[in-house]
Amino acid sequence: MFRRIFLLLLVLCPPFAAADEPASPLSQSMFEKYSPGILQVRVLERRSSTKSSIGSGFLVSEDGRVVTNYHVISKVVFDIDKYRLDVVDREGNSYAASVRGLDVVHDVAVIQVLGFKGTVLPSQCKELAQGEHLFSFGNPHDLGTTVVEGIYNGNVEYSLFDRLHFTGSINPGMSGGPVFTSDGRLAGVNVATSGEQISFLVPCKYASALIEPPGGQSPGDLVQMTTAQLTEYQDSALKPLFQAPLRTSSLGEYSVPSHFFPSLKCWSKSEDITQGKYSYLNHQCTGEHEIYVDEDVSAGSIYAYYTLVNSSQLNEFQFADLVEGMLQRFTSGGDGSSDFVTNYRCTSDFVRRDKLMLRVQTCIRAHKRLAGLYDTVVVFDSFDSSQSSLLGYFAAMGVSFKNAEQLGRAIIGGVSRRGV
Amino acid sequence: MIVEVRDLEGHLRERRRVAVFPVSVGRGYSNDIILDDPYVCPSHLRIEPREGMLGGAVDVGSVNGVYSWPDEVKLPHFDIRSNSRVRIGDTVLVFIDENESVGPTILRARGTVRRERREHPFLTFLASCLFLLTSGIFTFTTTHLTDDGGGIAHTLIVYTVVLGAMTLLWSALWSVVTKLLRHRFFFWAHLNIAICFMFASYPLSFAQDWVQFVTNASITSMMFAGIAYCVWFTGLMFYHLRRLSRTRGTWTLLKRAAVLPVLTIAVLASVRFYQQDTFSTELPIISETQPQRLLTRNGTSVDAYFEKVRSLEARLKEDLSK
Repeated sequence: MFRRIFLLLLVLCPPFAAADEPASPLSQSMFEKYSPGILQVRVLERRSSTKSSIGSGFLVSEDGRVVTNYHVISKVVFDIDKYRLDVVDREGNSYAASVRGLDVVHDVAVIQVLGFKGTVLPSQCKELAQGEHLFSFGNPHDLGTTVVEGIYNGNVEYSLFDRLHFTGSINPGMSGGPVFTSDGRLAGVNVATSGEQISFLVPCKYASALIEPPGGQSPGDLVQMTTAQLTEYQDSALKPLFQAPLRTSSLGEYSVPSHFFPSLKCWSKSEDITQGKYSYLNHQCTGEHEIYVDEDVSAGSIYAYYTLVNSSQLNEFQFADLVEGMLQRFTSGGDGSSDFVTNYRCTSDFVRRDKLMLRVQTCIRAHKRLAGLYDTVVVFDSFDSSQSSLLGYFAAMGVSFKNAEQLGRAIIGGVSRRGV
Repeated sequence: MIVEVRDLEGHLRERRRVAVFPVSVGRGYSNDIILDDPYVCPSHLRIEPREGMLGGAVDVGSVNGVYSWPDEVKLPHFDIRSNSRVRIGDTVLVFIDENESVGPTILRARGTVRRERREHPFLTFLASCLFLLTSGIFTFTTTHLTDDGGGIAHTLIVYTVVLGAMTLLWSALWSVVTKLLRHRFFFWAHLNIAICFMFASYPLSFAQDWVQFVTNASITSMMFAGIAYCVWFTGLMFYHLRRLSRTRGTWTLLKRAAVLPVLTIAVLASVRFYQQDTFSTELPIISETQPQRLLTRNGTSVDAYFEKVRSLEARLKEDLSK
């Protein structure tokens, strides 16, 4: 969610002024050499022809293929009857475009522009060295083409997918623009920023792989392609989780699945409440990245939240009432609209795992446009003790039904209590 | 012949000896037997001599008719035998042969004079409300956190006001319905049943799942009061039903008593169907009553549970096809 906000900022918001420092001579020469191939990519609402989203792109072939980000053109993928695509060059001329290929997992796409002749920019990739100077290009709204100089600081660790860490101020609207090395090789494609000169790039190899797609693509194929890519991705990403018990962490006398996914980052917080009548310990694991599919839809995010509640002063009815009140906070099913997802369908029961008794509720909803993909939420609480209870909330978005079931099993299977 | 004038509950209002025929019965002051009943016509019934019978009666063209009691068969005219019973308006006439003997006198032991207990339905209702409120306060304070007095007092006041408002609303609704029933007891009976159902439906506002509304832990704090009240009230109902079944058919009473529960279930079911069609990203609240938590010793296995989870796929495919 946090990540999506910054992606949207890059695409939709008015741009900021650029660098803190005056441009170097190299920046000037890079700008002169490559800016003619930089385009503004726009998604327009058909009936009003007004902008719905904007980003950047760069020309990679004589026949008009342009590389940009998937999230810039996602509306055209799913609602081709409502939106259309065009590009604008430095002189302000606009040209119609269509989607030719996409990689939703790595957030890169290739579009075909009709009738545009411009400077073809390099698309050969280069192995980067930490600390290497890079030059990011883009076309922020109404400011024209800009260049931002920065530093390559390695690959992002603990990410769902490959991302390059770029220390430089990528401005909003620059999504899809190229990033070149000083010797003119393509390092990557602008994709996101988290502010404070922390920005992210799609590695060059993913853009290169898309530049020569097998044939043209029709809009129907694009939705199926997106779905197929997401399905394949979640199958391969989740497969290691089911080959062995999930990694666990201690939470009081309980053990809970934690740090079991590469992108999961976990924190804990402990607090005493109501003059010491009860205390709780929270343990939260959030996936740092998610795959942007469309405005209300994402995939690949995983979230686990546990609360251990203890009390020695409340009687068992008061304690059960306290737990029931805390469970009422676990009602969020994530974002979504009725155009993209169904309602959640749920089943709940008392589940016995050896001597541990859990009340478990599993809710699953289907994606309407991504056939075969689902969002799942598992909520549980333990009640084998009248003075302590473990509450858990686990969510995974954009997974197959089989994986949703297996994830639920793995989470429930990973919960245990010492001495039980 | 003796004519007993009774109300619909069977209470005796007066006994009249009939020695001279014909005898007119009606609301008008010119009748031999004057009935204070707005559903009786000024001239309603005429009793004439008939050979071999105590008499014969004829409906003289009344608006509401004459009916056998408790069978409720309309009688334009009928033969009067000993213990014949008819209803005109809200009045029951019982005809008795004056030669029939009465039961023996009961010897009263000294110091055992008892005043006759009269039925006070409204007082019964008030007593049940006070009982309910007291039990509710007791269970609420023992089951909820006692963190600060202000919070609990505020919650109790809100709860009492909300419950009071709901009670009045139901009472108003059913006072219209019970006018059709024309039986005072059933007004209060329906009101008390409505209170029992309100306790069951209270958590409905939090629950989105039909099964979970009966297992929502919000019932817990009212559980003790609700069960005790319903047990007490059920006993009271049986007592009244047993008394009333002597004058009215038990099946008729049960049919009328079932109206409110059936209507309540229909309303709740329609609410459930409405909720199914509304799109929401919120999950149903996971909850269970405290008795379930306390009494559940054998949960289902993990495999059996995920067998249930697998069944969700078919339901989701149905949703996708809509």
